[in-house]
Amino acid sequence: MSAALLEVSELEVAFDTRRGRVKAVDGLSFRLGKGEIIALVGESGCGKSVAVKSVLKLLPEQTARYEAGSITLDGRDLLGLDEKAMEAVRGREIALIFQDPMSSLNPVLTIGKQIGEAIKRHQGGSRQEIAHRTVDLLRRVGIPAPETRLNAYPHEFSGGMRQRVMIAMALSCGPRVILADEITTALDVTIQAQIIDLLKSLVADAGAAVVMITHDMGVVAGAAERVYVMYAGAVVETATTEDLFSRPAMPYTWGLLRSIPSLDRPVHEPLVPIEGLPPNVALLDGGCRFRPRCPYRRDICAEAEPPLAPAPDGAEGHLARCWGLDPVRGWLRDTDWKTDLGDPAARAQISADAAKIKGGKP
Amino acid sequence: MTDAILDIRNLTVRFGSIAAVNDVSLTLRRGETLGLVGESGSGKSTASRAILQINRASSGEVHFDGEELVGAKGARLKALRRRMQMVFQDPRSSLDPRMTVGALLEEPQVIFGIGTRVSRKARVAEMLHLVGLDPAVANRFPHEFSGGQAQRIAIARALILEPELIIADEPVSALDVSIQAQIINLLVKLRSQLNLSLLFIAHDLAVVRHISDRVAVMYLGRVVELADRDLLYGAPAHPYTRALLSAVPVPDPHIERQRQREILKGELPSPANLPSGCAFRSRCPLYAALGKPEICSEKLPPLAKVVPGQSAACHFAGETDKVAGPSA
Repeated sequence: MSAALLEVSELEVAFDTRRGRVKAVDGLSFRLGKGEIIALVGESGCGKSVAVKSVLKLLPEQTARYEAGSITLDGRDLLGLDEKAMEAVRGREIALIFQDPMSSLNPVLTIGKQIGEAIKRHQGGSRQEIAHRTVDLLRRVGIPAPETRLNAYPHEFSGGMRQRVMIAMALSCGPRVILADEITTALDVTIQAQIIDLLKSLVADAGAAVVMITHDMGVVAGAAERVYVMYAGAVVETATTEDLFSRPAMPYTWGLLRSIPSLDRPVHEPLVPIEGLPPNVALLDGGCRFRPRCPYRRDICAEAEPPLAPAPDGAEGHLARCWGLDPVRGWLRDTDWKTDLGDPAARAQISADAAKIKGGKP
Repeated sequence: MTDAILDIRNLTVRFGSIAAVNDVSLTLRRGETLGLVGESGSGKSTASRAILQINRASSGEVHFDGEELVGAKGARLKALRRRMQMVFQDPRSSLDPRMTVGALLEEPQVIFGIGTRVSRKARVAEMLHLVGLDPAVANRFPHEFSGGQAQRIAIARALILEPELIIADEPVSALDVSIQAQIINLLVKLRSQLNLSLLFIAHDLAVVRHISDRVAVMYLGRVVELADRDLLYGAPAHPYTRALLSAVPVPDPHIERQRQREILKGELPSPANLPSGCAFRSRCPLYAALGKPEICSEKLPPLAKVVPGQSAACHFAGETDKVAGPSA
């Protein structure tokens, strides 16, 4: 493994809420090397967006608490930096691209002005230089006839074009790390393919490294080199993309892969959903966080949270959080996840639980 | 034809000068699931709304079980609508937040004057059970449910009048993948259990493949390909269908790395200013590969049979292989 450019280790972020302190990120670790693309995958509420915002320290100061862990950029501790120093990191060293470009662009400023603003703020230069650089950036992200689009407003651009503008803005200061938060989710599939290709070519050309945050396993398979699967605030499995898809180790990852309708699946093969509902992180009770939806669970799963431990395939950097894989007590090491769907009684119990509502909001 | 529950002929829906749906003809057989796919702005939602007469057709006909829907009004439309129901993308915004689930499910029965209070409540409990919810949730409010649960409620509400046709407009696209599969499986189960015909509208081609018998692909208001599922996915005839399929990411790194993508250049043209002839021409890889044949800019390609069970609106529908690579 190369030296880490961005390294997050054992990060814990909690929010003060009316119902007490809620841990949104609980033991997140990942490392991003130079020129690498990694993916954080998970469903809504799993803490992936909070994780990204916490890297840039963009969480609301009043309620967010960094409880443990560290975030380092090229060996420099970001959590120790004050707001002023963080401002120099944001945009210039680490750039963030959001899912919805329409709500991240200012509707009353022209595209040229908005990109120029980012350049001016971080790098300065004469008006002419800035305009020149803006055109250059728009061209790099594939906007046709960029000279003529400088004076256009965001609403005059399509969703895909706006996302390109966001990428241009992110690139404007030559960041070393790009955090891409669900950037293709709102786009049509043909445009999505264009944007992913663009991102990949930028990594290859500009040497930027990318953390992709997504729920789309297809996008992950095509673009990322390493995957971190998140569930309810924690990384539950990580591996190279290759290993994760060919030898997923723990039941949540199995469930994710089994539930995706995909063009390469036999058409009559039924989808196997993960029964039950995503957990409320405020109501976690200390055992394995996937246990309430896990059809392979046993008593031990309720007793303690399993550690992120080496997966049974022994591949380097393949870790999973599951008691069933424990070298001594485990019972899942040889399970064929494609055919063994777990205990039918447990499955039935999980869907019966999901048919009800527990107290309070879901 | 008696086995067609829905027969759409030359349907056009205009908003001002723009034809959002342009000369669309589709038939849905009884008990069949027809998938309708297309990117945003392709007119798939407008078409579905025009079937239910939410958007009024500018021209064309929509026959439901032999009865003309276009122009139907008042009691006749109401009676017909009872037999066809819609499930929308966002269950939270399609369920009134101030009504309990029980009241939401009772309302359609009240509107149609069905049953007594007691029998209606019993029916509500039965429906909730059918969609996998505890009947005790009837006195809860929509906000207390997760997205997947709320979509189950929306489905129960659509099914409570025992309709014959369900139009589902992106019913799973707002849901998490693990929940998506639950709802798809639920729809598949209910479809056969209740002998429903289903018009399933989605942008996700993998989801559509999973649930449909036949699939129609729309581009800028027109159907560009209509085919049996296996033909459409196995041997797409229209270059747009090919490009769409090739753009769908597959969750398998080996396949992804080896795939030759046909990435469409550019964006959807403005519907107010469509290219002449074939509207897909401006992005069509085949048009470029064939050296921009004149016929594409001069003549609108009709939806014509390619092989039995498959039609495409392309002058060169048989020659899509030419894009695969100049070396071939």
